[in-house]
Amino acid sequence: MKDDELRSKIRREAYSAPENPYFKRKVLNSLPPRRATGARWIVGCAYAVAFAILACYWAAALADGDAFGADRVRTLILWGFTLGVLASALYQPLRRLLS
Amino acid sequence: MMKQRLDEIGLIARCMLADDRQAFGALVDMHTGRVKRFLANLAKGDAALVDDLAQETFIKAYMAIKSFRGMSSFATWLYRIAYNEYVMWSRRRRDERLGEMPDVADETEADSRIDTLMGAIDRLDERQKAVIVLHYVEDQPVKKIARIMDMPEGTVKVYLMRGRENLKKFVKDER
Repeated sequence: MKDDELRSKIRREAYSAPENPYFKRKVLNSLPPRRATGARWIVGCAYAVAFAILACYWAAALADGDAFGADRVRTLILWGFTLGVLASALYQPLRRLLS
Repeated sequence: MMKQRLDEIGLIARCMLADDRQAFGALVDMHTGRVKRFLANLAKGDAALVDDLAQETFIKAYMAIKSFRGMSSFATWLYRIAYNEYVMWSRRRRDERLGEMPDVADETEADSRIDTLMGAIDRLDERQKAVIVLHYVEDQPVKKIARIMDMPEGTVKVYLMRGRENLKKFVKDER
């Protein structure tokens, strides 16, 4: 018997891969928790800096008694920056929670 | 082919650098078929066992992906992990069976399996079986089989020759 003949005979009888539509999801759900990567460390630092700037800005605004409207431009920057930072910080954890 | 290889390298890089699970999911999609077929032919087509071993293979691949150096193809690397998983499972099963009484049903099943070529492959020594499956079903050259099974090419050739002789003997007897 030739090698090619044996090959085709084996292939005819060989088992095929069992189908399981949930296999990929099962694998991904079994992976260990995410590792902290360099990119995450950078994002964490950026948030720390943003929160530090916000704290200084709020402290200055409250000390001047100007957090709620006397200087409109300053108030808009203060609230816009605060809401923006909070929204971007909460977006990922909320999305993960809801999914 | 080249584009697929480049896509694969991109996905591996995303997994390594950013722990990107979507990219790993794409790698699972790309390689599930071959890994499961390889394991199915080692494990006599037991779907539940194949699923478990393939799942372990991908989890181990994910955890060790940073150690992948690209010296061989990603598929070869996965075959190697899958083969090791199968060998470990096989050892565990052998240890468990050592203390058990031989089962009459098992013996009858073993006798009936020899009726088919896959049954004959199943009766081969574990290494011969893996070499035959990799060569004839998965179309892997000797060089890659040597990497997958971590043995010299000469040894692979010997296993291949012995396995082939045993199978040819079976086919001749069957006629």
